[in-house]
Parts: sequence; C-alpha cells; structure tokens
Amino acid sequence: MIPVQLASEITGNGVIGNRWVLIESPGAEGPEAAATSTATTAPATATLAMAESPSAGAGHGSAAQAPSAALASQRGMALLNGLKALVMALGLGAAMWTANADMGAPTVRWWAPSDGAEPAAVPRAVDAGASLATSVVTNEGATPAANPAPQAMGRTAPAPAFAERAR
Amino acid sequence: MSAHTHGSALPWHDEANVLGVRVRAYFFNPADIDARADFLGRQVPILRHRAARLVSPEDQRDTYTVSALLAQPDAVLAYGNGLLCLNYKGGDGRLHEPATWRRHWRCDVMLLCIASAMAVAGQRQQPTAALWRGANVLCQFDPSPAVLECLADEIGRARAYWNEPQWVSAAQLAKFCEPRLRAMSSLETSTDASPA
Repeated sequence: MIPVQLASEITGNGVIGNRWVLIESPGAEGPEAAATSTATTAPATATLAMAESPSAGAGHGSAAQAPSAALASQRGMALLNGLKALVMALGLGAAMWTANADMGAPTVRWWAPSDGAEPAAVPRAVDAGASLATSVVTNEGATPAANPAPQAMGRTAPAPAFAERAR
Repeated sequence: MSAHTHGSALPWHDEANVLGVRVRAYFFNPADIDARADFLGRQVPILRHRAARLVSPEDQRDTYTVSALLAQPDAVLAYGNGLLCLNYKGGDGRLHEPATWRRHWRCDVMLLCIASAMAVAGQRQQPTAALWRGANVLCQFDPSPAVLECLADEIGRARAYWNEPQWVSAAQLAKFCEPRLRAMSSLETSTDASPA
C-alpha cells in the first residue's frame, strides 16, 4: 500500500488539511484479480481514505459496489459478443439470400462426390464441340450454303454502279 | 464580486460542492493576468508574490506515477510544506461567469486534476493540492474521502477497462470514475454560493 496525501486547503504559507488515501502497490494484484477478489476480500483490497480526524473515515460504498460492477462488466462483455455474432450471422444470411436471388440456387455441388452423373463444366464444353463436328460431317453432302445475305454485302461493300462511276 | 480573506486563507471568490468535491474558485481578468511575465503570477494569480517555485522548468512536463496511475500535470510547484499540482492545458478554453460557472462545470477536468495530484503526491510523498487554471478562473479542489476512495479503488479496473497493459492515465481514470461518482447518491452537489 502506498500512502497518498492530498491537501484540502491552501494557505498563505503552505498546504493544510491533508487527506490520506492508500493505493495498492503495483505488483500486488492484477486488475482482473482485483476486480474479482474485492468481493471476497474487501478489507484487504479496499482503499482506506480518511480525513485528518480518524472519525471522518470514508464509507465503503465503492467496495460494496465492486462485485456488482465486475458482474455487470462480465455481462456486458457477454452481451457484446452475442451481438457481434448476431450481426455476423445476419450479414452472412443476407449475402447468401442475395446471391440466391440474383443467380439462383447453386448448381455445382462441391460437397457431393463427382460420380459422372453430373458432368463438370469443361467436359460439357467438349461434348458440345463434338456434337458440332458431327453435325458438320453429316451436312457435307447437302447443298452448299447460299451466298451471304445481300443486305450484309451492301452494307460492307460499295454498290457496283457507284464503283463504275468512280472509275 | 468581493474576496474574503480571514487569517492566512487565500482570497477565493466562490466555493461549491460538485460531485463530492469542494471547489474553490478565484476569478480574474485574463487580459491582465495573461500579460504577466512571471509564471506564478500568470498561472496561479492567487499566489502571486508568494514563495512557490516550479519543481521542473516551465516547458517541461514531468511524469508522475503511483501504483498503475500515470499523470503528466502541466506544472508542479513546491509551496511551503507541500506541492501544488497545476493543470492549465485541459478544458475547452471557455470563460466562466462567476454566477453561472457551476452549470457549465466539467467534472472530467476536475477529476483529472485530482487524479494527477494523487500521482504527484504518491511519487513525491508530500501533501499535494490539486489546482486547475481555466481561461479566467483558478480552482482548487478538495475531494471528499469517498471521491478519493473511488479514484484509488478503480485504478486497476480502469486499466482493465481501457485495455492498458501497464499504466492508466489520469484522464482515463477520470473518465472511468465520473459515472461511478455520479451514481453514488451520497455525494452532494450544492448549487448555493458559499464564499470563503
């Protein structure tokens, strides 16, 4: 315990009316331990504050308030953690709902083993290319495709009359 | 505004109980006081021409610690058999009217000054008075035993609250303790003027 004197009045010559208070030494107890042990060992950890007259000692209001304050602090921390978890869960739920509304249900079941029944994206593209090749082969004997559409030619090449005029 | 002096008491202009602390106020004209060259006459005008001297140079703020409480008062003066712990850089710089200063009183600044004085008194092991110099007022604080007990008891919890590994500053302790002191119904706050 470290004694501390605070002067209650300043006179023309110095200070008078000292009030004493005892402050716990730094290495005696940690703050968490102090917060919890004050309830059980209040006389050992409570600070004694008194005026110059011993009869004017302080009440023990703060020592009595210590356990309730520590309990309230623990409850506050638990409530804060709960609120944090709730906010995170709400955010995650909102993100998943938005994704489902915009893009639909998930098509790739990453959690299910790939047994061949649900082909992946790359094999599906290969299959599409193969079917395109077979269709080209089967169309070999058919009549060739007609000339490009005249509208398209007209847009990209000058008209013959205009070309002759230019010569 | 008449100053009352009896015996060797200083001529305070007003007194009031604020949150369990007896506050003595000395009002002055800042235009006159701020123009003074000497530190004591400028910052502690009520003690002008008295034998108070700075413990450290004027532009140097020493650090004082007791237990886990750390404070850097703006000035510490040796005065007679004790010390004066002075803060003058805190507050909002507003002018205080002698008739209405209690309504605009900042308790966090008052508790900061008391906590700083506790750190100074604990390290120097000398009786220390807490002073605050505002824009146009000098105040001396006389905390009740309940206030002292609260400040001393809450050092550990304030350090845990502010998540400080080693020290809690006087300002942090003051902010931590102010709502607790307000919740203590035994602490009185007077509104009547009672000049010294």
